[in-house]
Amino acid sequence: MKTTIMKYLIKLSLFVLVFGITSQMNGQNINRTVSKVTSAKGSLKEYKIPMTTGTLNIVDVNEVRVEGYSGTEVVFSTMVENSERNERAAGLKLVNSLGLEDNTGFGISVSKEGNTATARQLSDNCSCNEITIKVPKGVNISITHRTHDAEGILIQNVSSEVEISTTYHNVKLENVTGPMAIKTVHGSIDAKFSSLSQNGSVSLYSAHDFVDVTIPTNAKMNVSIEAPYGDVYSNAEINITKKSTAKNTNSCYSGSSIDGTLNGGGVEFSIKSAHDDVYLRQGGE
Amino acid sequence: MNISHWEDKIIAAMEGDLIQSEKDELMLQISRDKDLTDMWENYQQLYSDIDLVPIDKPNLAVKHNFIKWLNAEAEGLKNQTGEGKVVRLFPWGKWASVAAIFVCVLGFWQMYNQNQQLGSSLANLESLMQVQSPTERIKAIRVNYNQDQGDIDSEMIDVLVNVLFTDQSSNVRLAAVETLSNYMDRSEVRMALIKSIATEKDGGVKLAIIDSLGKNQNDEIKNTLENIVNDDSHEKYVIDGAHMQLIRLDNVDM
Repeated sequence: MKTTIMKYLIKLSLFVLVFGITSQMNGQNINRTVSKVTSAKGSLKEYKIPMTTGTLNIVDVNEVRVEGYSGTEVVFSTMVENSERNERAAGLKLVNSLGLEDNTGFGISVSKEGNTATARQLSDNCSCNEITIKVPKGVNISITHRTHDAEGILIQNVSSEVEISTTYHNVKLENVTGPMAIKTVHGSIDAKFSSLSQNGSVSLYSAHDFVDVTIPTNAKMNVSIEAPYGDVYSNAEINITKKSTAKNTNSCYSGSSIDGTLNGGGVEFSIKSAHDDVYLRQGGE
Repeated sequence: MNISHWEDKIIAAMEGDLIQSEKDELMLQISRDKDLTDMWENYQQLYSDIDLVPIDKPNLAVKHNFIKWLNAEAEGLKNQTGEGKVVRLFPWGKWASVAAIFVCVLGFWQMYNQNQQLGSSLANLESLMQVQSPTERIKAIRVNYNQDQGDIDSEMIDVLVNVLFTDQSSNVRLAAVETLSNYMDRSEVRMALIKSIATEKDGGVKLAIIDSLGKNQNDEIKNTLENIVNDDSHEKYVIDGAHMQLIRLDNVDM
């Protein structure tokens, strides 16, 4: 009897030990997988990390598409074509001055600390096409990009908070709700809202290109539109509370600045093109 | 003959003021002169008519009331000059003092209340600027620095300047720049923006600062823009932006 109890206690201790280690490993996000699906043209590479809340920082990743989905992992994937492979680097690891590791296998380093994960492109000569990142609904997204490489950022089906700061990229947002803060220097912003969240705020700013926004008919907002060296085009029935034209006396452009409300007011919604036009479309394409 | 002399004598006779010898002399003259005779008869008739007029004796009650009023007035005067006090129908001075004190108390209370509210909203704003969400921080800026609310005090400017120099998010710093640009008439704002050019890492925010500086023109701002144009450490598009603003300012000069 005594021996049976001892055996039971030993088994219980082992179970607790194994369970504890597994839990700790999950807490440190060691549970990651890299999968490869090979085709004749090339191979689809995937890298996953478990994450349902917090913020995903995407730093200097060229040509990125972010999709919101109802999952529990952040999934990075890209198609690496056979012709783009660097056969000479076969068997070697990409070395980076920041000491970061190419743990995805396609030139992206992914790390996680606490509630924040960071994906950073290690090589400018990334041997991949567009990087697709599937992000669980509860994960906020922050993207920064400063180089000339690639052309755009695409955000789809995202209802969590999005922050983007880019120098050269065009930013395209589809089926989004906000809150968001988007800034680009040379790129344009094209945003289509499926609905409008009343959390936080929405700000869309381009220094040198247009900003084109489509909102649902029932979107409630306090809207501020500025195009100091451009024009504002809209079909929205804005209840204008403040309007000024000819703001730039040191310019040949008329310029427009409009403050008002839509559907009685709501979330703070700011649209600005510092040197181009602004388009605000209400209720469809 | 002096008629008026004898007329006076006739009136005196009627009044009974002549002695017998004077009266005899008068009667002698009247009997000798026809005019004096007529005059004598006329005065006799006049005096007899006056005697026929009934004599109204004054009401003693009126006299009594008059004396009573006179005594009361005398008593009043005595009180004014003696131990008595002046009683006004409405005490204007007293009420004016009470109103003045009330207005002062109300004014101090409102000032205190405003300061409390300002302090409270300032503390609230500072705490809002610490929240993790950048879109919430931007919202805090847009809501709390609404131009329709009029001018803002220096402490509110300080909060915004602090955001400009320390916030981790370039989007939030951009919102701070755009809001500060509404207060370019304030020297502390211009100084903060000029200073921030040197520390700002994000090219987009630098461009926004340059655009804001371009709204005002003075030598200080021109010098700053010229320094940017001549500083190769800045991004090329930032230098171009500064150059563009200089051209615009020069066009205004022309």
